[in-house]
Amino acid sequence: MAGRGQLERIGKYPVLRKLGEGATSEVYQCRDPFNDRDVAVKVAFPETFQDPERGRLYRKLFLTEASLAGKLQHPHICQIYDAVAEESLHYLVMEFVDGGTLEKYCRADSLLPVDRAVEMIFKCTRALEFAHRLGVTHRDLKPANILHTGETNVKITDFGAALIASGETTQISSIGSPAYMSPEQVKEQTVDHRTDIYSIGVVLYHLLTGRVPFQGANNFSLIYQITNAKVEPPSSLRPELPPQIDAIVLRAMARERDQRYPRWEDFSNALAQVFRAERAVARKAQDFADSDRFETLRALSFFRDFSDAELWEVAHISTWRHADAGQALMKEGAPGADFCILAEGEVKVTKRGKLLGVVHPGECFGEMAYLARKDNRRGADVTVTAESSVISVPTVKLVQVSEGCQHKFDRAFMTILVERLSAANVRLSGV
Amino acid sequence: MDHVANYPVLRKLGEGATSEVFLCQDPFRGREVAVKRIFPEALRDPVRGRLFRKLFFTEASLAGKLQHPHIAQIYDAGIGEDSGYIVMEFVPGGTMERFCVPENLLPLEQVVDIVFKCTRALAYAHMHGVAHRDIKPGNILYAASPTDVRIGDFGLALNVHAQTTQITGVGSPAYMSPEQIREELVDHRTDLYSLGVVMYQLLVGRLPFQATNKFSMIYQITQHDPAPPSALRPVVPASLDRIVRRAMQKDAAKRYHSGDEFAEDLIEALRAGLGEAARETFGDADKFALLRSMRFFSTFIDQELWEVVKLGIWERVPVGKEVVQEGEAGDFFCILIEGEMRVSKNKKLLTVLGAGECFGEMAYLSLSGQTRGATVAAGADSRILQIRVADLEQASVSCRSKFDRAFIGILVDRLNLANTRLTSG
Repeated sequence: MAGRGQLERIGKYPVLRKLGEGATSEVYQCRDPFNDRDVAVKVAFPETFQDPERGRLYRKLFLTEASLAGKLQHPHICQIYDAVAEESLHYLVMEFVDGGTLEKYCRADSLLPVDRAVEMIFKCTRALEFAHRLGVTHRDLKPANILHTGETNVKITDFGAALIASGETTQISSIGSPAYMSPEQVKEQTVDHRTDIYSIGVVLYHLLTGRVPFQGANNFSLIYQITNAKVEPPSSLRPELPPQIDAIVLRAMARERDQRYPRWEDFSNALAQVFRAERAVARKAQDFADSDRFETLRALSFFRDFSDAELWEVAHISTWRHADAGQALMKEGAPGADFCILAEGEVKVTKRGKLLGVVHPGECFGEMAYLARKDNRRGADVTVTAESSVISVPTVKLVQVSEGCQHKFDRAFMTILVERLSAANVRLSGV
Repeated sequence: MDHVANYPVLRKLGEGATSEVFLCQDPFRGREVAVKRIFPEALRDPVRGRLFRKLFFTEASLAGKLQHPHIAQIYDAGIGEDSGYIVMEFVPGGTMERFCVPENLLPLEQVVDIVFKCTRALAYAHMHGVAHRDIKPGNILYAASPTDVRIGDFGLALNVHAQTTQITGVGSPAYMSPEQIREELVDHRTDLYSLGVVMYQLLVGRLPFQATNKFSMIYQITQHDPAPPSALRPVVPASLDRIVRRAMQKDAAKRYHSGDEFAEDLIEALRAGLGEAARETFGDADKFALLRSMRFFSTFIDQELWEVVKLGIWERVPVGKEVVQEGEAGDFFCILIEGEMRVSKNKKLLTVLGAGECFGEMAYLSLSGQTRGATVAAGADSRILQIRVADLEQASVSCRSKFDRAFIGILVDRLNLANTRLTSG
């Protein structure tokens, strides 16, 4: 087959090293000299492309799919930069992610703590919801397609690769297996986003227990079980798992599609609920999990117009703290290097003992030091009046976020300023 | 040829000694692009080929970083042992070559507009450390209309001998500066000289120096002073003669020091009047220069300001005319360019606005669309820039952000004022 020797370059990309290979594709780490960055290039060798009649059609489909997947720009999705379909060479150019995949946490002797596994899958569900809204289903979700970039951060890869092959390679190689396939995929029925929900259910099962839900001596046996057997709850293999987790996995993996979560949103909400009780405790210990941050931000009116990607940016640049009643948060005259949004609780703003206002969840305080731009000293004292969680955004970090995210902050502040100004005008004009 | 690199070819646009240019499809991004293919012979050249390959990516990435409304964007570039290509923004109109002949000259005002845009674009590129070194009519493209220009082919190494553009050009020293001809070290001022030659040609329809062979051309460029444009087209005012002369000084130190300085003189000439019929409309250059001098736009960078020039609606308002009526729904805000506006509520005068101030902005700020809280009428014959909220939403994020920052500043000032009045009262 053409090009299956040792490649020196793929299109315009000089090859640095091979990352993995499968039955119908190979992945290389390459250099993109124009953009001055490393990229992962997945080269496909599917038989269908060679077919003189169907080849053209497949090439066209390949490009359509890739170009759709290329529109997925999200912190937890591996970006596709380019796609090329020539007669003898087909490849996808993707973001290069240094690090492994979730496969390494799928073995019984290297399992992740439950909350971290849930955290990662939560991020996956939000990313997949975003893709679904843009009309993209993945169809080949498995641990080997979820890259791990540190802490609980993940990047889903191989979107739009379904056509390249039955997706047997990723940036790291893996074995071809139907283990993560939904019953409808096995039966070659039409698939939709609920197929992806099923597969993520299997991945979660694997991460929690170190085993896939169905074990078979061969593919035939596996397929039979996927379509017929009952799933044993994960807690049967790891007794410490709480019953809510069993329920989530079993619901995601329901054999009948309409028994599963109907929307990604429902899946991620369920995951966010699992550690709700523990979260309150964790918050007191100044520990705010990423999913806790994200879910909290999403519910606050201040962030109403922020997209998911922008909320993740905020989650990462902000500092979160829990504060008890009586605690002083800001002092008049002190320099202000941040502004705050109240996540829960209540704080009061006073100037020389006189009450200026009370701040409720979703409202901001300390922002004038940022907005005025000239004098960044605090104009008033801020004190906690009821046990609170406070989100602090350091102004120096605000310049690091995307333009879109900065723009959303500005719009939010503008709305607040307009409200305050009209309130002031009402007070001025009489009463 | 049905592909260049991985771009399917739609048709050929032009060809030169070392390269050819095709109109191609970019199937991944769903847009048309101009792809320049460098001939293998140029890369196989034992001496220059190696140097060329080495310089290729440095220059291409540098030029690729230039993002400006009047510079044709470079999207991608690739080079192999004996193939090389550059993917650029496709600019469909044509080149300035069309308007450099006596039977097809543009009105003076449009010429100034075009040259002005080029000076600002060059200033931007120079600020990023990129000199063009091959400015000529064939490298100044236009899209929808002649004044909708883009400078193409940035990055000399990419040009090999700079003999092709999206449309064929000629290999000639006619636009070279004296220092370029003498093969001395050149800097950004060589571009200003070449642009002076282009301006000359756009004004009169012929080159400043006429020669039957290259050597005579070289001799004249280094030794002679050109006749002023007005000698060939009497309507050209003295102000433009002076600008061309300054741009084409043989000694680089005596030329404009920057594209900005060149631009300033053009605006001054435009404002003083070009001697043609009085203008009813504002040209782009005029609009840009007006906005550039206003405090409201002080934090806008050039690219963002050009967006405002494009999206704004410019109007003259005769004294007494109402622009905004109390109680009506509003979907635009305005910036007063010159003149005076009187703001009143219930027929009671609230305030008088001067040039540079904005009004009607609550329509944008309140997000929900708002009925006007006051009436604004012209207190003198005025010029205003009207911006529709819906149009602003189409602008780039960075441009919108600048508006937001400007409005936040205004709101903070007003809020402070209101608070002072509240606490003192």
